[in-house]
Amino acid sequence: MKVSSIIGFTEPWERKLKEFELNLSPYGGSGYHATHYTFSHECFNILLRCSNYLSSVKSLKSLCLEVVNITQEIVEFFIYNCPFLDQLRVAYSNLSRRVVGSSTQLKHFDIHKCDLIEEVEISDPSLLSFKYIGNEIKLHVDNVPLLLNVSMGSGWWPWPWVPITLTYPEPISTWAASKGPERAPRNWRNMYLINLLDTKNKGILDLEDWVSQLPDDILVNVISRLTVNEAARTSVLASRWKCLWTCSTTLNFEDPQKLLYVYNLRRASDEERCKYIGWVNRVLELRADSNINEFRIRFDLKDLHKSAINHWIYTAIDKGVEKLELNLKPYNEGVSYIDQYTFSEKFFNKLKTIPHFLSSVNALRSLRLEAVNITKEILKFFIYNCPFLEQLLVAYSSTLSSFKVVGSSIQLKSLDIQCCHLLEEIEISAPSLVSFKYIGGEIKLHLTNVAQLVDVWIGGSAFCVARIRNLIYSIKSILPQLKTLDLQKYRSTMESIHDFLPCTLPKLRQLTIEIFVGSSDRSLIGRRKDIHRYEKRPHQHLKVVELVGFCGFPVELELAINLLENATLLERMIVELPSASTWSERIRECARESTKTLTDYIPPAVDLVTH
Amino acid sequence: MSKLGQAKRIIFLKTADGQLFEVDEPVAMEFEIVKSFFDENEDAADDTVVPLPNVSAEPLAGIIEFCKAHVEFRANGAAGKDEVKKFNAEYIKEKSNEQLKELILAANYLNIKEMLDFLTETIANRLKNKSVEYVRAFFGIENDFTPQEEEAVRKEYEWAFEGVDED
Repeated sequence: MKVSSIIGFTEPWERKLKEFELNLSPYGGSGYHATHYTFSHECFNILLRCSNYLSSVKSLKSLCLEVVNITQEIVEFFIYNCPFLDQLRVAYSNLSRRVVGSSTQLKHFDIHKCDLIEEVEISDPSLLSFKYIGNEIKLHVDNVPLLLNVSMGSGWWPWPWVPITLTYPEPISTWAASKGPERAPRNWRNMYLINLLDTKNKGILDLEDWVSQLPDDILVNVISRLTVNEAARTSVLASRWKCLWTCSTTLNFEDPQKLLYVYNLRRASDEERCKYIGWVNRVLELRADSNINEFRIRFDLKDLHKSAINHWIYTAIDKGVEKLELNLKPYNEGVSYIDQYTFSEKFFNKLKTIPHFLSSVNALRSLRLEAVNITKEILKFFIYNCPFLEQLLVAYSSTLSSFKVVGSSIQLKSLDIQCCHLLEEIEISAPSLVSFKYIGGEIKLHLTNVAQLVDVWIGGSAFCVARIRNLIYSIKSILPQLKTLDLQKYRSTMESIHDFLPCTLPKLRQLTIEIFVGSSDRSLIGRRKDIHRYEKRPHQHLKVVELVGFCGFPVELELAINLLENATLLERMIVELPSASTWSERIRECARESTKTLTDYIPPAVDLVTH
Repeated sequence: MSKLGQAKRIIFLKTADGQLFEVDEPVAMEFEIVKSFFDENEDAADDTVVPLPNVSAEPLAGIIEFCKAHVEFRANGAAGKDEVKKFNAEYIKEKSNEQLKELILAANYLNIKEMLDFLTETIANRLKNKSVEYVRAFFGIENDFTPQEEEAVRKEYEWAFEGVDED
């Protein structure tokens, strides 16, 4: 905009304006840009020359400028010359470098995504709230005794936070009069305060020690949900916390940062492994007197380290562990099976020498083993001798050839078998079983006496795409009782879907399907085909259908349309389009086309979500 | 068998600030303390008012909202896993730290394991991977260690600070 067109701009000021908002945003948000309208000095000087301007501007109470480039001088002019100005917001402006918000009357100050700012200085005894969204800045706060609500954040999803350097002058007793200057935080640097935005800008900086009003057992409960390092660090918070973490009976040896590093390289170095083992041993020694409720190991370790790993399992079971997890995967989505740690027969016999072994092992409720070789005999022992065992996960065991849970007294509620590549057969007869997940190749699956089973997940992994047909036949008898069914990474032909879908699914509430279309079907891309209608069998409870990796092949479209026509209570259909990293643009285009076709079939009550 | 033809039972709860709540039985039975009250007083009349001297109306209303939703989720089967997560996230989003504290204290007193687990998990999630300074600020904890004492504790658990960028 040019200056001439903004001359009219002077008019409102002559009418004792109280609130002024200039929002030139083309849509909800914007970035700073040089082409935006500039509240220039030229224009400002025109304003100043207006008669009575200085007295008129005094009435201003609230000033909001969005997508308006403005200089520090002009902002300061308003701050110093408007004695009633209590609210100021500047957004998407080129406001640069240093902003001094010193005033005596401003109550709410808001700077939003002014990308050029490097430093903000605030000194204002009336300030109640300060909001800053944007890049990293240096923030100096002084003389703000009333400031209670501070919110800061990057505002840029997905970055979880933005480092903001805060400096506080000494003394800062004004921040928390009741606490005295020496009690106040000394160096509040690098505060990550994005969470404030989640809690409605209330809380964090009001310095009320809300947590001290919680009893110890609740704090211990909170600590027990942290990793060992995070838990131990709470000892430095204050004297009350010094020993609290030692009351937590959870030992979670996970270091997310280190793990991320290891997973990126797909293996840990020998040095890192030794360090990890040293860490676990040291903490175990330190906590030698306490019970262990939950014990979790997560690091790339091999059979070479079996003496340490065996020692850990021995200690955990000896101390009556309820939840035991060993996850030795070298990276997140797979393993090499080479030199993998083996839960050996020899070690198992040693375990049995634990005094009162049977009563100790009785406490086990959850056992999760990933990238641990284990045999059916040892698993069988745990299944039959742990009356409270509710959750069992075995993943990437290269020694498991068959698996059997058969017994009327078995309490197992959740069973999860993943990627055991030598597995040929699973036999399940467990009356309490609620959820069953199987990922892997084609196997013989026998399911009997599973009246409680309602959640089933069957899928291939990225490495082995399972064939749907035979597995579907093995669960056919229980389909009527299922409430959720996930079929993912399945190689399928049209015929097998035809076989499966017309089955009655009277209780099913949620269905997730990802079809891996075979190459013969792939030639049908984009070709129109008549939609085959299955025999009408209403899915009376189906509320959510999720189609993962929907490429829009005729078989998929047909499936989706038939589901839409038979699921009378459907609320949501989620269509996840194929990712750009694995599929060509041609297939993605075809997927988008098919999704458009699909919209014609969507009844008004159904919410179609695509992403 | 007398229950069969009846409308569903209502439990009366009275808060510390004197408010009377009428709660559906399955929801009230989520509160271990109410459940054991009726277990111990089997012949308590249907219109017995259960006093809750440690809970005031505001957190109780929040707790009833949470338990009611979760009772329904359970009745609908485990199918609502995503629904539950969504509800929980929405539920906690609007709460200030003060409200969160009140809810925790009330859920602890009423002994509602599921809710207490959820609330402590929420707090733990806000603290994960955060520096000591952040946690202090988040909780408003006043550091009553002298610098020497703090240094000593840090030294004792040196291993826990490895790789943590405190500044």
